[in-house]
Amino acid sequence: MKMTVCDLLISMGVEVNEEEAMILQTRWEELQQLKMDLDQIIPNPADIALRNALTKQ
Amino acid sequence: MRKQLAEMSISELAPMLRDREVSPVEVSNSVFTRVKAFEKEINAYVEINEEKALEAAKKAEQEIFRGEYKGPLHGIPMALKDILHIKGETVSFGSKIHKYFIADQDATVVSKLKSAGVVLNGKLNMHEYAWGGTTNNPHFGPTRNPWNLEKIPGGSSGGSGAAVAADLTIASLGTDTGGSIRMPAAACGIVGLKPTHGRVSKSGCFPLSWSLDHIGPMTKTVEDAAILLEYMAGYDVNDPTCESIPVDSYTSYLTGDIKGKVIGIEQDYFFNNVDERIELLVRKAIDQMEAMGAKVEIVKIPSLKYAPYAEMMTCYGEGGTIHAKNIRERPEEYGEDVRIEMKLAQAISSTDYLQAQQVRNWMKSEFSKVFEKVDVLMAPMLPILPPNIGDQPAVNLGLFSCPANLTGLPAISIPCGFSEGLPVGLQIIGPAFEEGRVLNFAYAFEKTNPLKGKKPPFQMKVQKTI
Repeated sequence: MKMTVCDLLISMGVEVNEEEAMILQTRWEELQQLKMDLDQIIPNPADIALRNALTKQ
Repeated sequence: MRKQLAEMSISELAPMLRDREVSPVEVSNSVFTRVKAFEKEINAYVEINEEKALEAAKKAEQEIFRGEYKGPLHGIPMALKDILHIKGETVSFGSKIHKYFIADQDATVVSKLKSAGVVLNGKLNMHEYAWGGTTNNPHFGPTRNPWNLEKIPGGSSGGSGAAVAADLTIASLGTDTGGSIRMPAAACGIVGLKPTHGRVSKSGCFPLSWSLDHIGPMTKTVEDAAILLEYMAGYDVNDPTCESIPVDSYTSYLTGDIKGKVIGIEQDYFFNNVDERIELLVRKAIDQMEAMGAKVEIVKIPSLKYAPYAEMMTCYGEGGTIHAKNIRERPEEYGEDVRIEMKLAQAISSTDYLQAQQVRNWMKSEFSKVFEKVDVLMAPMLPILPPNIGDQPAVNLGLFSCPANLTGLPAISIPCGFSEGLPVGLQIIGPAFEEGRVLNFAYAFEKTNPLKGKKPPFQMKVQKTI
């Protein structure tokens, strides 16, 4: 059985009412669309940047 | 007609204050007169501190009269976004949950402004917890755009944008996680600068998403933004992301000379999904800078297409962590839109978050290569004109602003004209820690007088009534 984002949230202790469930599902689907083909395209998945640190160019 | 003191910029007021032609008390009184007359229409303030401000103004007056002038911010009244800690005062972050929270110390930027002699005259409205771009705040009411009271002022620093545009403060500070300084600056027709990440300490500013958050000036002019940044910038041991790089004299960059400089245009992302009226004005602005001697080069940044996803995932990952407890225990105390976002944020996986960080690395690398060829990038600031208050924006308002948050690069919004009676913003992005360069391009364009000296329409009523 496919788990919805609302199922996931409820399992994590986040309350979700009926009205919110629809909005959350729509928003979740929008987010997945934004991701597009990222899983395939990301150039170096072993490279992890955890800091937003910059140097003067 | 002579300008009222409240209508003036920092750079106009500073020599008058220094030379004792006007006193800080007169300047503060001028601002409060306008606030009393027009705050009800704009709703920019969540707290007005007249008594305390006038005491501080009196102190500044005495200092200046004793010959202890501290510099261009001495005696300047400023209201700040209600997300910055001011010792002993309430700071709500635009929320119900923190409505009565009292800060036990000043944010570093507040401390720096106080040391420079700024008179703090109140706190400004914002989108709840800075998580949104409309400033339609359910706890403090919506802030209205001074150019059209039916429209949003942008956000999350909408109170700052509206107050500066309406001359209800001389200048302000905002915070910017996905465009929250630059979007209201564009919507309200003012200047908004997001410095490089690490340039200005965030200590004492409630975080939305710590790796994306920035604090910066929101002002009437480019010169004012440069002045404020000089006082705000610098290393701070209390902010682990703050960089120890010497602070420039940003005003010294303001020559207006951009001859031979190269403007980069990235068309696939920044000129896609943009209202054609906005695109027209932005392209016209770039043409004007070309006429000043700058060159234009088309560039490609393929990673930009993933910017909105990376922005959302980073913001959800970090913001969702900050609010993990309260969204489970006190969800009803959040406004509807922020409550949905906070709940959604709890569903983000570590893979989602870390992939977003990989996209950021990719973007930083591509931007860095582009800045080997061009001096700055130029783009529209907002993709659409500000919508009506209460309407859901038809597109992501932060579409064009979020890349500078993800990369941490400095970016400014300056007005470049009007469409439908509303100001339109031009965005200029520069290499890391090159705020001076960004400011100088903005300064050069500002000289073309893009708003033709126009003020928000209700300004006319002010002249008649006060």
